[in-house]
Amino acid sequence: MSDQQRPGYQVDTYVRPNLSYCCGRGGKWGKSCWQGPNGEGQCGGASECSPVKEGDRWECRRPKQAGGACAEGPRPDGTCCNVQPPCTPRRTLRSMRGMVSKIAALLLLLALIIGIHPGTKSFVNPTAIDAGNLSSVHAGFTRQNGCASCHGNHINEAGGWLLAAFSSNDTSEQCVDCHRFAGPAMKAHNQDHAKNEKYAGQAMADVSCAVCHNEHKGADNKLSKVSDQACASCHKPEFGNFQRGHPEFSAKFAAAKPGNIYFDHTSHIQDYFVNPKHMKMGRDPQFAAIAKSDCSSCHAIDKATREIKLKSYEQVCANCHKTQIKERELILFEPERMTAAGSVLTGLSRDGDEEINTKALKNLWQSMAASGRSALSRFGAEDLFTGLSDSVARTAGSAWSRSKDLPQADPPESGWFAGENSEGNPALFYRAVKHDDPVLQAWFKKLRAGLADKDDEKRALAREAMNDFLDKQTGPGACGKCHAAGLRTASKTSTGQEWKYAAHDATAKDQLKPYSHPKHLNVRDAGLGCGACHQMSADSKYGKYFTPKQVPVESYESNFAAIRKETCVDCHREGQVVSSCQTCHAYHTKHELNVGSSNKELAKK
Amino acid sequence: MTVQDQTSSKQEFSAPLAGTPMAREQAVKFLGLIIFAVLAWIAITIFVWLGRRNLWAVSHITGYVLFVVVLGLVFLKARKRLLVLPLGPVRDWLLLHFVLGALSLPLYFQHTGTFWPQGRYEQFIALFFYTASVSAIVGIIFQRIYPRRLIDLGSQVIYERIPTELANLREEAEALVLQAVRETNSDTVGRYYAESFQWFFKKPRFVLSHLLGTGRSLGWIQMRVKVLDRFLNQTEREYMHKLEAIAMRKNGLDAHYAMQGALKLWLFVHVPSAILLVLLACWHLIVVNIYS
Amino acid sequence: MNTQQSLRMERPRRWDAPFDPAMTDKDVDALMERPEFAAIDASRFPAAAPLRGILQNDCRIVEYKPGDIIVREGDYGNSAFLILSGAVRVVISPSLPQQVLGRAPEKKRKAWSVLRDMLTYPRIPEVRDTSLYGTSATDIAHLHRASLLDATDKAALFGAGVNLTADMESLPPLVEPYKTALLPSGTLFGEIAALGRVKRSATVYAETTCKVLELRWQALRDIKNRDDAWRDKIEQVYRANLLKTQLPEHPLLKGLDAETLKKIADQTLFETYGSFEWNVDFKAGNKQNRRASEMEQQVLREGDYPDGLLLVIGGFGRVTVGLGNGDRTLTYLREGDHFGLDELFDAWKSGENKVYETSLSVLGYLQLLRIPYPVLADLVFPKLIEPAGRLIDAAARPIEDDAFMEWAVDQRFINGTKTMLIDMEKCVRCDDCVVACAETHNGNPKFIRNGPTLDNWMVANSCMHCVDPVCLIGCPTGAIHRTLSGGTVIINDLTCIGCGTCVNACPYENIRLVPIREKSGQQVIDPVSHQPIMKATKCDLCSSLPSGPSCENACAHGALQRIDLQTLIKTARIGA
Repeated sequence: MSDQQRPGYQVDTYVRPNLSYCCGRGGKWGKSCWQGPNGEGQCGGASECSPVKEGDRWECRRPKQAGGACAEGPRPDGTCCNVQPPCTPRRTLRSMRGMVSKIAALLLLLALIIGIHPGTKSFVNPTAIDAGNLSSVHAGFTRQNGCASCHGNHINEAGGWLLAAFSSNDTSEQCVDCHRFAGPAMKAHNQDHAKNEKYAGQAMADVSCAVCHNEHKGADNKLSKVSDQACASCHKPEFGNFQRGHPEFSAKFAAAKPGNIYFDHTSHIQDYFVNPKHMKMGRDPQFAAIAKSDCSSCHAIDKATREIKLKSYEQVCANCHKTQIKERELILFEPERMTAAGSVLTGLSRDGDEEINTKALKNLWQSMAASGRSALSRFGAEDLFTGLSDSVARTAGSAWSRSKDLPQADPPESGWFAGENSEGNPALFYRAVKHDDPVLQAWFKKLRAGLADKDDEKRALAREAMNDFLDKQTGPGACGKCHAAGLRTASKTSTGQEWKYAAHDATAKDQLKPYSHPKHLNVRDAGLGCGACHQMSADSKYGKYFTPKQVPVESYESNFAAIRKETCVDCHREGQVVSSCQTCHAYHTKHELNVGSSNKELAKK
Repeated sequence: MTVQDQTSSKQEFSAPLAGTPMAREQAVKFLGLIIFAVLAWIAITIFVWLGRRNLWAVSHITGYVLFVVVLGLVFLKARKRLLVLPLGPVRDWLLLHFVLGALSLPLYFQHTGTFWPQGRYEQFIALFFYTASVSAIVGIIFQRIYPRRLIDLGSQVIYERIPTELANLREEAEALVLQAVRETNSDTVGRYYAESFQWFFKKPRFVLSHLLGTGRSLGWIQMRVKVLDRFLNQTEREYMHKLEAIAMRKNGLDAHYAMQGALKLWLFVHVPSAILLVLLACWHLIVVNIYS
Repeated sequence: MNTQQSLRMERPRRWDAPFDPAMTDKDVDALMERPEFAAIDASRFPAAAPLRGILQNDCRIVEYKPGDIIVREGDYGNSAFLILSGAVRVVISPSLPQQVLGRAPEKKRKAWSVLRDMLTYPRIPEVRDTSLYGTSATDIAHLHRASLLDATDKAALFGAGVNLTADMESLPPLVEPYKTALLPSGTLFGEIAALGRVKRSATVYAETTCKVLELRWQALRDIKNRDDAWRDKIEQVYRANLLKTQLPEHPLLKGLDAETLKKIADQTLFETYGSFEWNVDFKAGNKQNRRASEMEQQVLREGDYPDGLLLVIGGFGRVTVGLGNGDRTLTYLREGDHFGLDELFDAWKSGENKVYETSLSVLGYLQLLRIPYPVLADLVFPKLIEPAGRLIDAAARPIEDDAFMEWAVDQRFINGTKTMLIDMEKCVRCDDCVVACAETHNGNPKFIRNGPTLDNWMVANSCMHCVDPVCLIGCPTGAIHRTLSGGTVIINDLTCIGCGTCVNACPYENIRLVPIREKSGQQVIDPVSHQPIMKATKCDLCSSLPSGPSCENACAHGALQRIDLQTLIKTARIGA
């Protein structure tokens, strides 16, 4: 090994790692020659010296650096005795490293540009711009046009393609071609918040699709999944998780909106179903016994979705309320005084001039005596008097026009009758046929229309009559007992919805996704049943809202206490059930796929 | 004689040659750079955290930061080429290179969000990034371990001179063997040389063993001597001992070859993959801006 | 070499590039008539280098105007001067301010031109532009000539209100505090710097128009070697001047007034040990594997009685104390150090006789001033505050701690001011240092990354730019020289004749001879001897580059440094 004490050390030549080639003999584990290759990396072979003729002798002229004159001396013909055959110079390590780098870079450049798929449309190798697989929902229909399905500048020529780097190329415009929403696509929650004075002064920038929905993340990528932090961009202060930071639910959550039907759960469950004094004739004690503790006796749990629909009237309410309907009669006319129905028909107020009223009635009796039922056609709506026969009308008309009593008879189960009503007063009255009695429906329709009348007087009359009709104790058919809230609304048209109990609406304000009862039933302590989340609130004044007076919806107090966050947090917490924003809340308002004719074909493929 | 002059002739005695002023300077600079890098990474992490909550273009910006870091890394090579410009000595740039390299690792994952990207060319970027990073770590390990071992071999040799030295040792060994045969009139040593040591002296051997620091080669040499011992007379035995001494010197040469080779060859992975990484990163920058 | 592919060029000779090409035979004749030269026996000079030849080729006649600075204190120089006519003054003390002396800034190449060369250098080793050879004189001939008249604050030099015209005959004298002395015609000055390769000890300027014969070192050496009278005169002048100039400069005596110093100087003896050409014995000793300390001359031993304080004014000395069967080096001494203070001071204080606690030996050569004890007791010790520690205390240190110093002193690495020290534990053998050196020197590295090693410290084979550069001694042409201000040792490729004297002289084998080639790659061959033309090459400390030594800049791991080892060793430098 090189030791500084070795003699002749100073004749060691410099080591030149900066040159590209070195003597090839070293490569074969021999001694490098001191001359080295020339600049181009060639070696022509070398002789150790060029002999010189001194007198008649050739002498060696090997330089001191290579060891001085050699012992053997030149050959007799004057050539050096130590000619080295050429070597194959090899690259130095440094130079080899440079070559590897250059070749690798060149190959890369070629690979980027040259297409390895023959017949490819773009000049650049599609693998070189492959950003990842599309999600499976988008992959199918975009196959034909490839990248150009969404990226417009993909088909540009090379110059334009490169220049596109300097412009903004948001693909969101293409998204909107198929994806439609209830409001503007790029605005938060698809609503224009700028118009809402609650957000006055807050900057509400447009949010393009690509900000939250990232494609090219593989076929299994769920595009609709967005991180909770994205919601935090507007909804501040941000909270760490549902359990710890989410605000408490609104004060009347799941119990804010009254239905159309007056049903006091508390009184039914704690009183009517329980207390024997309510088990009058016609009321089913067996049903009451079940219903008092089993919600599924009235609510169709097996068909549960967001709402748990009620079973039909026949299955539920009829068990107790069947008889009440028939017991309460619709008093059409009374001989001596103006009835509510009469005032609506005639347009004469009951509090008005008695003489006029009496005269009008007398007139009516005479018409009825003469024409029977058709005398009532002057009032218009025929369906108000469905099932009223001529004979009944004549009977009533002829008796009352001569101030005589009506003949004694027994009223029928249901239908029109002129005689003594259940209170013992003479009247032309109607007994409901069944729960959805058409006559009563017609009458309420008329009254509702009357409530919407432009004329003040007519409106007042209708209101008075409505109040009578909807009276809980005396209203005909006992409709008002349950249906008052829905019927009291004024409307010129009738859809029938006013009778129905009306499902709770998922409010757009909370952007809540429909709650799924099936997933949650019997998840919590099975013994609690529905009561696990819907707890009755003993001191709520349920009836406060259901008055004839106009009361705001906000005053409604449900039988059930509002559902508090802790109910949900029991399971929806970190480490247990999923509790991201998107579990319950939706960002987009009414997302629809608007697949146009051309796209439809593609989408089908 | 003034008071000042006299007190300045305080006698200082040698301190053990532990570290030069330059070494201390470099240590301080390194510490400063590490602190700066940690702070920078914290700032970037905070930025990413904020960005996700404010719908900023987080990937774009972390991408640009990463690009700048990668360019900073590559600038070490450029600095070496532009040595004559007054941009600071290369040792300071290497410290920056270490720190930027360490910084690039978390930054990379913060930018991609995944260990293996979806797109084909992005997978190549990931591949070259990983090879560059892993080769860098391997290189650091080599640079920490091998120089001390090379010193402890006892004497130094320049890598490019190893073939010549090897050839000299080979000649020396062969001359010794020939002399032994001539002197003792027995060809035992010569025959055995052809069977065993000839292979050994041909080129560097037991390279892996020298890299790992095991003593395989020493054991081999000793065993060869032992194997022949029973067939030798005293003179031959002395020749074999001399041959063993030459073999040990050659063994030291092998160790130099192996370890200095490793110190040079790790760069064959690191530099080309870094270059490819930079080229692909530039391409990525262009493509991303074209399509978004 | 393939002879068909070689360029023929005659081998350069010693006087191919004379000191002054304008020296004519007439000039030489005039010189030969002067008594100084007439007394020399010209027959003693060899035919290859006759006296006339020396005078014509290694000397030049320079004319100075009043005010011109001939030599600057602090510069390095390779020439001595003989005053032919006119009045010349030497500034004794204090030194003239720096801005007056008017040093020209060292010219550096522009970074961009260096960068361009770094990228386009020839990929063939040792390419030279042979068309440049044999044309120009040495670059040191073109000196920046400064003048006292260029000083900005002339009043400080000459006094207020003095009229200074460009064509005055004689310069007015310098005012207080500057003390000057007149050097009459026939005086030889500047020999200290030329002989000892040290800095100029004083500034010398022309008072009137004067003619001066500048003899470069080669001339001085040859004449001194061949003529006894010259040798004696030179040595006498050398010693006297050295004493006069170095005694007041010594750190230990700074602060004494001029009168006291003169009294001391009158009694002080000048002693010199060893020889300037110490490298010959040193290298011979190395080859025989003799221990360095065996070859050193003892100045004094432990136990000897001291009779005077020794001040070191040149060369190196080793301070040792016996340890076991050997001697342990406690420290080394160089210019500015002293020896024996502890013992003499003790003796003075206690009144008892004290002996030397340590020994002193010579490293190469050693120049001492010996101040006798009575002078010390009388003039020096009363004012001296007792030194804080003792040199002998260093002997209590662990042996391990001084291993590096012992080794560095043995190898004489202490000589270097820019030793290339590589920490092999940090070095990853990447060779970036060699590549950087090559790239900034037209593709040719100037050092080898290998050298004597102690544990992890390697001193590589790169010129150390020694304090005492022995390589300068034998150069026939002066191609190897010291630059003016920095003391960097440079080989002028244009005038190097490839004789290899410096190569053989360097004790550390840091200079190499290389065969040169043309741009095309052809070797350049001497047609007469059929040997390739050689040039000596070595590290030039990148003195022409704006960025400093490329090797140190390029080392990525901070393993390589160019340092003076004394900053690392921090030995007990007494008086430092």
